[in-house]
Formats: sequence, structure tokens, C-alpha cells
Amino acid sequence: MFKRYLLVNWQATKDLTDLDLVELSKNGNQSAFMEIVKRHKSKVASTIYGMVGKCDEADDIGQEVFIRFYKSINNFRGESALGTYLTRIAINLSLNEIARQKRKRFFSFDKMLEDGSDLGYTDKTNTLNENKEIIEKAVQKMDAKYRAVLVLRLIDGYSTEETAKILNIPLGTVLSRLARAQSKLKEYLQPYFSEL
Amino acid sequence: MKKKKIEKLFYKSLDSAASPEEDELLQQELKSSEELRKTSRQINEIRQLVSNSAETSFKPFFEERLLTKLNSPSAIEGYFSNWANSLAVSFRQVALAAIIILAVLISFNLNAGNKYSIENLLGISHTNIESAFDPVDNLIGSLK
Repeated sequence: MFKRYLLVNWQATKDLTDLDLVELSKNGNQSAFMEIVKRHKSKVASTIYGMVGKCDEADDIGQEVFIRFYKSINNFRGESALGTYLTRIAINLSLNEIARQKRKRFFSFDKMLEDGSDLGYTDKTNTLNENKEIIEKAVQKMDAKYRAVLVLRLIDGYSTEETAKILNIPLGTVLSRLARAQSKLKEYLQPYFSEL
Repeated sequence: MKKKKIEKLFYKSLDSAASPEEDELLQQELKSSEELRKTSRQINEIRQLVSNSAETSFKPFFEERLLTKLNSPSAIEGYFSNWANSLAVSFRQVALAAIIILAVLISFNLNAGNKYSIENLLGISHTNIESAFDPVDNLIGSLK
């Protein structure tokens, strides 16, 4: 107990568990909170970028994830792992952003990528960066519900059970969405990768 | 039908959700079907490509910007202003229609009355307190 109140600098906080850091943050220790951010920002970033793509909003969503967590930190009881909790916030905020972009596109009559249209690349000899872009575009073409499963399972590496818990859907639904997402992805990517 | 079932089983096994019996059945199918082997190779390739494509870093100075936001008093207000903004955007057309209806009603009320007053503006008929509450007046009124 004593250590929780004594260890306030970063050097000390980096040796603590996530739960200890949360307890310290609840008592207003910002160093502890920043250690949480350092530990989990990569995973939050991969979730958000996977969901909304590489856009300016992604960074804002990332900030919002941690701000929301900071403001509601007293509600965190440690029933799920901190990373899972933050991923859940990141997924929800990303879904909000996707819905917002969809509304915006609808009202501005922007051209939307339609199902079955190509991804804008012409041949199968792509550089590594182009490969990343092609995959990102293919993932972005998918419906948000398939995208969420794909991102959590394949990019973030959560198990199917964890994915089901984060998205609050049955395990069977995760498996069927994942199967559908992968076969869609195969369809989208086949023209661009010679190995497929 | 069988192809679909096997394909479903294949995806299930990729996510370690297949039973040992299902796994065994799938292995047998993989041995005998060239097409299934090809699909298996492709899907594993795709999974690999997707996992490797993960972007894991935000823009530079992420923590510093976050800390500034957390320490600014507007961080909490920002929530309410964002909420108010999205509300305003969502209901802009409703608000516009309400303003137009209100303007029409006000102009109608002003035209219907002879003079410009708050009562006329709001469409309230003029009633003085004596006529409203004088018991004698009320009594006479009810006898008439």
C-alpha cells in the first residue's frame, strides 16, 4: 500500500502492474497514467488504424480513447485486462467515426468505394509500402462489423473468445464474420498479389 | 454442400475452434483436395499479410499532446461542446424549420391584432385580473 503512494516517478511506475498503475492514476498520479499510455498506445493504434485507416482522425481517436479512460478511470474494476478495456473503447470510438464518415459521405455525395470495384493499383509488383496500402484499402472496403472482427483477430491478435467479449457478440458470430471477412479479403487481394 | 461445410470447418480450425474429430476430418480433406490445399495456403498468406500490415504508432509527441489535453480545463468542457455541436448538426434542419414556423406564427399574430404588444405577439387574448377573479362578475355572468 505504501509503495502505491510513494512511487511517483516514471522510473518507479514502469515496474508496476497495470492494476497498480490504475490505482495510482485514480489518486491523481499522472506519471502512472502516462505509463499506461506508453504501454498500451501501440495496441490502441493498431486497432484504430485497422478500423478507420491511416487518416488524421485516427490520431484524434487515439487521444480520445485515453482521455475517456482517464475520465472514467474510477469505473475500471479490473474485471477485464486493461488492454482489452482500452481496445473496447477504441473499437467503439472507431465505429462512431466510421458512422460519422458514412453520414458525411452520404450528405456530401462523395464517391464511395463500391463493393467489387478495384483498389486503384494496376499490377502485382508492389513495393512493401504499396502492399500495406493495398491491404489497408481492402480492409477499409469491408463493412464495419466484418472489419472489427478482422482487426481484433488478425491485427491485434485477440483470440476468438476475447474478440467475442470485446464486441459483445456470440462466438459463433465471430467465427462466421471472420470466415466471411477472409474470403472477401481473398477476393479483393487476389488481383494484386501473385502469391495468392 | 459438402464443400461449404468443409470450408466452414477450415475457417473454424484456423481459429482453434474445431474439435479433434473435426480437425481429423479436415486433415483428410486437405490430403485429398488440391483446391482446399490451395485455399488453405491463400488464407494463411492473407492472414500473414494482414498481421504484418498493422500500423502501431500514432503521430509524434502523442503523450505530450495527450498530457496537454488532460491538463487543460477545456478538456471536460470539450465533451459538452462536442455533444452540443453534434446535436446542432443533427438538428439543424429541424431547428431551421422551427424558426420558420415561429416566424410565420408571430407575423400572423401581429397581423391579427390591432397593435404591437407582447400579448398580440404571443397570441394571448387580453384579460384583466378583475374580470378573471371578481366573484360578483362571475356570478352575474353565470346568471346571464
